[in-house]
Amino acid sequence: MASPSLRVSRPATTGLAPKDKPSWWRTQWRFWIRNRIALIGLVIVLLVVLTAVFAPLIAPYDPYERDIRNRIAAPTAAHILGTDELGRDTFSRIVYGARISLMVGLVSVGIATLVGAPLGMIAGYSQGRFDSLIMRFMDAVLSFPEIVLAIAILAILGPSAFNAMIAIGIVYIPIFARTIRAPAIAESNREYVEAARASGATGWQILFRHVAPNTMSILIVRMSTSLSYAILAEASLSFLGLSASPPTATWGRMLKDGQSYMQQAPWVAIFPGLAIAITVLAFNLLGDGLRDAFDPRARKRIGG
Amino acid sequence: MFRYLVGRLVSAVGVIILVSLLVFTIIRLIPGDPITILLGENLTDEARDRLVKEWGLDDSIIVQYLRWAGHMLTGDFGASIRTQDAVAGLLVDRIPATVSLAALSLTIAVLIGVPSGVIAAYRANSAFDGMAMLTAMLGLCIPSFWLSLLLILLFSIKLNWLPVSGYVSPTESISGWIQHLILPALALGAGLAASISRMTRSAMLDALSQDYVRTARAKGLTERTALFAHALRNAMLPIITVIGLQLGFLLGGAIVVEEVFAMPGIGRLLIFGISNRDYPLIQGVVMIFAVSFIVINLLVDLLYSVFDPRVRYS
Repeated sequence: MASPSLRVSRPATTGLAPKDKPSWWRTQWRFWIRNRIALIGLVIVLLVVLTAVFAPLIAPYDPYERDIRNRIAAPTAAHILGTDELGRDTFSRIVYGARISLMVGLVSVGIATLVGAPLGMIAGYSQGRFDSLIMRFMDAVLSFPEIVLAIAILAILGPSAFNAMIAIGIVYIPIFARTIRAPAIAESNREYVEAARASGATGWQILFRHVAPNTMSILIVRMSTSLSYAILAEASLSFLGLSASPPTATWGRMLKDGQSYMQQAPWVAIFPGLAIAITVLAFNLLGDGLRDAFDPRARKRIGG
Repeated sequence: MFRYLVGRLVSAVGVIILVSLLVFTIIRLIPGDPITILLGENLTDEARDRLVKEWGLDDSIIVQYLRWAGHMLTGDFGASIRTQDAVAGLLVDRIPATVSLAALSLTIAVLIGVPSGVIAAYRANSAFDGMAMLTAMLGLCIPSFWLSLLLILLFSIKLNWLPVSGYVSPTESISGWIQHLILPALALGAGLAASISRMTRSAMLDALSQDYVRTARAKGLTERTALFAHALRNAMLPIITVIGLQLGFLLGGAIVVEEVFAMPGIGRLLIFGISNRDYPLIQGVVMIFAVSFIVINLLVDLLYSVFDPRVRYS
């Protein structure tokens, strides 16, 4: 049954009503064409995702297959990015490395979103003792430099890709809580929320039907930028030997291993880094582009 | 001002206590009992009894924490399991390299970031602006360890201008100190320069559109005075905030950069501690990192009053 509160919530859900469905593709098309920067980011992100998903089809060699006679070989037609110190194909290892980077990025940002966003939303909506308790605790966690905190957590849990996801996820929880809290406070003080409250909606109903949908755009932007930093963090951790253990191919680890052979084989120190930089840039462009699209005032201030 | 200062100090001390509790529990969260982990293959019943007595592990956990915190306050961080040296001594030996690296990186970042941001804002939407912001975007996305490797490839291996790795104390040789620091500081400072440049541009754009800048220009002040004495001075506040926030990033990034350049800093000490499961060492380094970060943030807050007399700290 349509309660009065549902009707008041319309502003949050326009465009998602069933009768608009046929135009969904066109709406999307228009949105992305108008926001070139976000589109460039999206295209590269999709390419990286496809690379990770179809790694076995794309990689010309087994990333673990050693070829001792062909160690640190320069790029040739057979090995387009050369081989590493064990004769493994660099290109194939970069392709497989995309899997670890994306997985760690997605899972850690997922953890941070699922824990941080509800905390921030409830804190912002309640604005009481719960709010100050949560936010003080978040401040304490934020008082650690993020990579130091991630390393400290890994010191407890032990180095592995799985633990890296947890560590990075924990580090980003306060950032998500803070990001969502501000708009949650703003939305909670809007008239439509008051109207919903007056019409008898409970706190949870207001939170999920009215406040949450209106913080979505901010959340999506934050997730996209956080993905770029999470991927960067994973690369740093695996460079320090604190993420997936060898012989798993990770971009950070490849650079670490390549450092010793840099003089004879500069390519081993160049290409994995390029993969990290391009992926991080893509998520950043996507995040920046989406922010500009959702908040036209930001475009003028920060520039496009 | 005084009341603000006291309040700020009390809250900083509170956070430090909270952090010390976290660090203290680190060793207790590790699966297995600490003595087995600490002694490793040297585990004998005698050694175990000696350690239990020595550390007072039969006391209650609160007593143990208070004793540990008390030792920390007097500068006694315990002994490294791996090297048997006092952790405090190891830290003191390693701090100069990290502080040198962080200070030079920060200097480079401010010298690049602030002017490029000011010019980009003053000539908004010009070719310079576009280039500066594109470079800044790249600076944010390039991992510091990769930039380190690229700098080593170019300046150390290809051109042979600068040493590949290591560190020389300034008391030994000033030129050696600088030569060893330039590449790591550039690699670490690039990301910070990018953030500062972006923030400076947006803060300056904001300030330049304000009425007081128009008034300053209208009353015949030179463009230079309007730009620096009026716009930049007001834009300094958000810029300082970003610098303060990013200093933590600088401390964290130092760990990675020290590792690439084999610099004897506390970041590398932390990695050594982790790979050797040397928990007293890990606790000491993490405490140092957290306390310096908190102190830096306190100083940044106080700096506000220097740049903005309106901040009265009531």
